[in-house]
Amino acid sequence: MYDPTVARLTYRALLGRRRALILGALPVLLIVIASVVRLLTGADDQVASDVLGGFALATMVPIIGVIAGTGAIGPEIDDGSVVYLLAKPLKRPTIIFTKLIVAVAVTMAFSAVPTFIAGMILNGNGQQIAVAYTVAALVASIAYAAMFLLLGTVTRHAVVLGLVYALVWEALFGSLVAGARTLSVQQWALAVAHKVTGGDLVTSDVGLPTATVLLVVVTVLATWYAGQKLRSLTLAGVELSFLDSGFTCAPSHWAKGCTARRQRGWRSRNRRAKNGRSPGTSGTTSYWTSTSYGPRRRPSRPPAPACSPPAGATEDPTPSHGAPTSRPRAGSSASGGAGGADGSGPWGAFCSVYSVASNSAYGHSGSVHAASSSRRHVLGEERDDAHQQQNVELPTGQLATGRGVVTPPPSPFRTESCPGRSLRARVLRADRPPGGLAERQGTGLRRVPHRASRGRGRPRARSTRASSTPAPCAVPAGHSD
Amino acid sequence: MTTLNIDHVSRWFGNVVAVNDITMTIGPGVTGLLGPNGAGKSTLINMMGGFLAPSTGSVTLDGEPTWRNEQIYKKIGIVPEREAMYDFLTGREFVVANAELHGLGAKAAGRALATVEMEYAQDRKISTYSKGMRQRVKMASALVHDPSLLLLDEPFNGMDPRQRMQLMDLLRRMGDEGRTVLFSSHILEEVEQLAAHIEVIVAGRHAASGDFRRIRRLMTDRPHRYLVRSSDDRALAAALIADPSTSGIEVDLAEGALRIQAVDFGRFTVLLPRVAKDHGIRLLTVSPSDESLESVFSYLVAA
Amino acid sequence: MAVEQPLTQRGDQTRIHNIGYRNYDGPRLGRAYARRSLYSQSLRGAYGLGRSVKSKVLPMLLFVVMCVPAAIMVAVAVATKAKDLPVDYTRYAIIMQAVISLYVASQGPQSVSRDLRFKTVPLYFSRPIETADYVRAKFAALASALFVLTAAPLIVLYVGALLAKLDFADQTKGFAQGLVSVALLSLFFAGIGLVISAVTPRRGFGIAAVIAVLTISYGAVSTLQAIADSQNSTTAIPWIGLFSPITLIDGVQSAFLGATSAFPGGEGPSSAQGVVFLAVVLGLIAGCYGLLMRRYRKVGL
Repeated sequence: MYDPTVARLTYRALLGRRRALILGALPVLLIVIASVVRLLTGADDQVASDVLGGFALATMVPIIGVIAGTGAIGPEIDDGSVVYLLAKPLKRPTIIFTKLIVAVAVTMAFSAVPTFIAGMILNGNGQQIAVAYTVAALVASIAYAAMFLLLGTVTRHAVVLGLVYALVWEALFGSLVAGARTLSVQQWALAVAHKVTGGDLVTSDVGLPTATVLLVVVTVLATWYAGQKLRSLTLAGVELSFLDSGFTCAPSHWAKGCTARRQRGWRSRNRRAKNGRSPGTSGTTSYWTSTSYGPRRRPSRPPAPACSPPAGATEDPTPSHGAPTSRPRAGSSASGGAGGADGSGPWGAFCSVYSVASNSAYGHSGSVHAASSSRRHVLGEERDDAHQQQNVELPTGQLATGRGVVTPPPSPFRTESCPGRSLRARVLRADRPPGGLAERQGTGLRRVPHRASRGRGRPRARSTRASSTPAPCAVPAGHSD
Repeated sequence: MTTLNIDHVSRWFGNVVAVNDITMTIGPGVTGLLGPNGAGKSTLINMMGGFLAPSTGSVTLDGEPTWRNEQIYKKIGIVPEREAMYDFLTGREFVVANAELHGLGAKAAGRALATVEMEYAQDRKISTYSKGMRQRVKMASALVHDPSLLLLDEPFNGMDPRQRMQLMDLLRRMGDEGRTVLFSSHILEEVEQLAAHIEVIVAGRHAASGDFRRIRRLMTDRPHRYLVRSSDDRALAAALIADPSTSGIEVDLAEGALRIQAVDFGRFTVLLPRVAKDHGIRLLTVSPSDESLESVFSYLVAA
Repeated sequence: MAVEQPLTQRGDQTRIHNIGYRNYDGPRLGRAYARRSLYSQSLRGAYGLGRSVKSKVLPMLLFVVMCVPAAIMVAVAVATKAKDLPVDYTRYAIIMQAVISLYVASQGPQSVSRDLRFKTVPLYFSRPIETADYVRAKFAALASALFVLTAAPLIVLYVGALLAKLDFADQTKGFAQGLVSVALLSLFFAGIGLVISAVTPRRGFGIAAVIAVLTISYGAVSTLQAIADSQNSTTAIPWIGLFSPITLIDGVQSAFLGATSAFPGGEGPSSAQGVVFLAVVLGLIAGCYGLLMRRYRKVGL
């Protein structure tokens, strides 16, 4: 039931530098307060009981319980490094139980010991107050650690929930609603303390038998349930990186929400497959063409087009921070990045780097993606204009063929290294001279005949401002394989 | 000799189908799981590794299910994709911890570290490691208990060419020893070089399996393409087009070669030398233009 | 970032035409614009504008919760034709400190710690903005958001007071004092919130840390003050009040802005002590700024 290696790993993770500092701050604070109170008032039993009850037991113990309990397992699940514990012939309840023991030990050490010290400072254990509250702290740590370990296993927001419980439920509701006090770990611990002092100073709203039973039941139930939950812990696989879907999700915790969001593209893909609406050359659904081309949804493709609003669009800093915290506004060209219209400022450049990074993260798929768009374009598919325009702009060095097969470029910076994504720039690019693109050897690929595409609703009018000088982003010679 | 059996497995998340009725058997040797991003490779590997339950179907290793079965990890070694490890441990401590969790000792850990050649850095903290070093330590932790099934999720991510070669050698060795090695990738060159047997997953469906050249043969709806240089291109072209096994011949003046589309592969391979001999044409180059895994893959993905 | 690639010309037929993206050579708007954009975007993000629907709920809810009691007070004052508002302008923020703390705790981490955790900060700094710009923009944005949060109820109170035909000069003076106090409070809490968020990489942890610091410090200080009061050592009370953000603001405003102190015993700090309070507040604000600068200077790839 107890595995020393797991214990060692948990212990070292819990008492990593930063967490140890935070864990240590509260006890130090308690001792400081106890000293100040002692200086102010001298040895007073009532005051001692108030301080220990109000500060130590009501605030410090739950917070340390939260930090230790959630910290024993939460960050590991969040990171994904729990897979190294799970992929072992070790029973999951054993893992939970070991972590519980470590969490309880840490909580006890950081809460009961300072409580005792503070109690001795305050009134030198008059009426057994210091000892009583220490016992209460010990008992409460067990229950808190178990509860918060369960919370840490079950949800990602364990810390916040734990704090809400500790600081809001027990403090606020406990004092307002009488019935809520029966459901408060603090009261149960106070019942035990009351038994130790036996006097009037430490009172509890819950009788001792009830309190003990509830404590034991809660601890056992929480541990057992956490063990069961850990047995079914799923790592839903795809690491949703930040650039991927505009936000990040820990790929754990029952595979909801985030993965569903990312896979919305699949849903549309499936639906199109079922309806056969997708325009493949052979009439079957193409994997790439059916996906993420709807102007509405492009969860798996970063909003490269979304970075540049059409000329004249007002500055609309819609996606916060450009990329990191927003979901990709589904490719609609109307959603601008702030400053994108001029390609200047942080957002335009930011967007371009974002697109570069995300495109390079997409490897082949990105290129096939782009190519098949041009294929559809050649066939006269009309979609969101600006969209299409954006995506027909193959990255430098890319060639489209009738088959939509594209050879990946040699350089990682395939796209959008030039931030000029305004409409004006697009118009300039639209005016391609005839003769088109160079031919590649070796794979039998042929180039897209420009004339074929011209008549099919080429979206932008020919601009007379075609520059005759080569633009700086041309591909170097000898670049084909 | 462990065999992984995946039987009509589907996995959906709400409305979204990630893996769509896949049936395959992974036997000893190196198998590559190939597919575009988002095809369901990671989901499938997680199901194989017991980290995800299939919505329908079953995943069994030698008859035992992988879901909720801790004892199966004695036979499985997993190299996950995510980089997060216990950063505060040194490499050696990490592998030793993994060994201890398997019930083995520090010696096994030392052997594993020697296999991946990480002994020189084993006493540094993992937080100071580069990506390739982390990957190798992950490999060591997966090898420490000598598993018969190795699951690697995108193992070549972020490795430089030399490390990649080393890892490929290692995996080849493992495969030759009779272990079952399954790795997923979306980089075609790696899979081409390493895997004798590939499984292609596209959009959650199992698109193809086997040797990629044989898969290419099976794609009879797509004409095989060849690049042929000879002493008399036009005559050869005229002779070949007369036969129904070719569907198109292009004279490529820039290359000075013929590009031939052959719809009947078997017949064409017999035809070409005979025609050349009959007409007294010397063949200088005959090379297939689309026998690469890349074209096979793109055909599979595009269809 | 654009790579200049030369065109190749091999003979007359073979040419590679550039269909790639072109450099932008036009006017650029410069650093100030970038800073302003970052400021406005962070400010809007603090109220959930420009973010998902789910993230609008809490800030808007807190905003409403802040303003509703003011509205109620105004309604009561108008209805009962009271001579004065039930609560002073300067006192309002002290009463609603829980809401303010919750707001800082929820919006501070979301604006700062996500960039740090996912290492996108270098993307900011590889642009023409400096560390100082980033820090100032974020600080100013959170402070402005807090100011909006805390000043709106004051405006409600003021308008209501005018509607209730209370004394104009009196109310205006109180309002002005309230605004100054609330401005100081916004800066201060924003600084604390941002510093704590910047050092806690996980957002949940950051939220918890901010709440913990603000709540516990206030709890400890008020407990000690109560004890001191019950022991009649009233000289200690103001000094104890130095150790918690909200009591610091309370001290400053009762010393200089004519507020009645919320300390037990009703005795605020004297002017001399008030100078100390003000110095501590300003020092802490400067310290928070300095810590943020240090934090962001150390951020690397």
